Amino acid sequence: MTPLNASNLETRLDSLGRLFPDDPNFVERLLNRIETENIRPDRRSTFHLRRFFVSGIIGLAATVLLAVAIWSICVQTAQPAYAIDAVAQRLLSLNSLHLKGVIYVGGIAHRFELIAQQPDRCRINGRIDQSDPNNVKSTNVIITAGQRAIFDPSAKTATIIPESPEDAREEVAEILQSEVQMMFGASSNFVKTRSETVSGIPADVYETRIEPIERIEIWFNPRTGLPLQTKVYRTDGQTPPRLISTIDLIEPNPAIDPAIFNPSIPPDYKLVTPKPTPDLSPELRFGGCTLGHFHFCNRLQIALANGDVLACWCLFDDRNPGNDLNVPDAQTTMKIETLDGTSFTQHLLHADPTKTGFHWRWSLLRPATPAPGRLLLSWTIQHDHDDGRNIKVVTSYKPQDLPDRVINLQKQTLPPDGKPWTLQEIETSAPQSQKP
Amino acid sequence: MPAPESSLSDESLVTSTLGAGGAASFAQLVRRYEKAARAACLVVLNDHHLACDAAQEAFISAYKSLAKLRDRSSFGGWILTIAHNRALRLARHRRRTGAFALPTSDPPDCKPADLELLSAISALPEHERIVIMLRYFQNHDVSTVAEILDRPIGTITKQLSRAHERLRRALTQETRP
Repeated sequence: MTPLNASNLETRLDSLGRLFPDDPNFVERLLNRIETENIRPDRRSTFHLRRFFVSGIIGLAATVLLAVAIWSICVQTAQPAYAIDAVAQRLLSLNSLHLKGVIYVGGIAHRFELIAQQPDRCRINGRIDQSDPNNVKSTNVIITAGQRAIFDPSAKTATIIPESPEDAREEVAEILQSEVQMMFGASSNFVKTRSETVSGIPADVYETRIEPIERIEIWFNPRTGLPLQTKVYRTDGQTPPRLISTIDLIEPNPAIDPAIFNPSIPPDYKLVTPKPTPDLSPELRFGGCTLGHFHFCNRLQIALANGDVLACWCLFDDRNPGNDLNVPDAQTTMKIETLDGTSFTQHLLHADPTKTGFHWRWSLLRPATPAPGRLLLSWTIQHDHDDGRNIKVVTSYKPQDLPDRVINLQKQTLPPDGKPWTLQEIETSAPQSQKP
Repeated sequence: MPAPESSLSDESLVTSTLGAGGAASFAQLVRRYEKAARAACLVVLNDHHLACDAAQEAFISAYKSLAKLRDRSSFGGWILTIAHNRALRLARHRRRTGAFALPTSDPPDCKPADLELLSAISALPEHERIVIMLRYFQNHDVSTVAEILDRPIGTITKQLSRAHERLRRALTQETRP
């Protein structure tokens, strides 16, 4: 072993110092938090207060003075109050969001952390993978325009999947909006139930319910206009509501180090080549459900004006996928509704054939009662006596981005010579009506 | 472009933070001790992301409690103690919740030999630890360290030399079979 002399100790110290490169965002992030969370130095020195309260008479006088001082500070420097109703919209307009929390699956707590940055970058540590119900896994996912990297810490594997820029944009917007939806629920009827403190910060606790399935509690800081913590309880209607998620760090527009989206594969991880997604199981890639041989997938849902939704979806029997445009039918029904029970009718715009025979169907979904801002849609498929349900967020885009997004997303499924519908055509044309 | 490093002493910057300087003055203290705080957390957590989180929390906590710091010239030692405690708390919390480490290799987490040296630095007396961290982590020369800590250059040189000696002894003992 090399003897440790003055020179190589200095060399080791120098190289140790280089392990900590400059992080210009560190200070920026900190200042951002100080400003956003309205953090101020506590100017009361406990040392001086202790000395002040030592004598009984002086202590009494000091108490009176302190009370007057606190009263005058409270009266003279009232903080602006923020309304909770506007917070979800405010969070949805963010460019980026940083969240930390816990998801409970089968009674087991899974910690997660999410950083999403519009338009197309996202990192989730602790994303729950329930594709195998017998093996619920917590994975780490990095999505960028070009690829999706999935790290499985239990198997020590890294899977890199190509991701089109359009899919990455859609998915990041959807993730961001799902999280806000998770925090605030589908209802806007917030009721203040009590006041508490969270880590020493005074908070108003609000509750919103969608009976009988969902109850959400939000600890809201009226000084900053941001939630400090949220808890979501859900039930299937048969069992008592259970806590399904807690979010305990909500950081809007954090300063982000681009390096966190660099999907470097740790040396102890094995790179695996993904099995191609079975062409006849699009629900595994985009979400949905299966009922025996029937496959349903709601690939995307985009909010339009007046509560209308543009959806891309498919439903087919894998024994005869080319016959899919004839379902739903008498044996197979499909119901689309919000969580509070507003039903939607489905109007087909175009159906784009895939190589395996089924069609991606683009439809305008129209609510029975027009109301913009609904964020979750539930699709229930029933076949014979079996049924399946998939709930998915309706993604909103900035009005100036929406026309291009609508066209580019349709190009993902259209044949090379296919012509996408413009936003205006979708919103104003009288689409062919189809059985629900 | 990063803001220029201030040569004001810690004591002046703490006073300025509590006065008219506010968060802008505090930012200069953060720049001065950011890497040292991350290093103090890394000894406990061995994960750069988590160390960064813990260091952020430490600076927030220090900012809130700055008025309670009785000897304003000892900000460096104080913040490193807070950072170390935050990291311990985060490590305990992670053990309780069964959270796992993030897969990251940028920047790489510490090799055992680096962790060993970091641990030895953590065990130094506070005044020597600060001098080492300012010299090697923040990359300041001896005269700047003297300005920051408001001590004579000769004192800093002696403290560095003693710290080297202690580290050498600690590492030689640990590597002896």
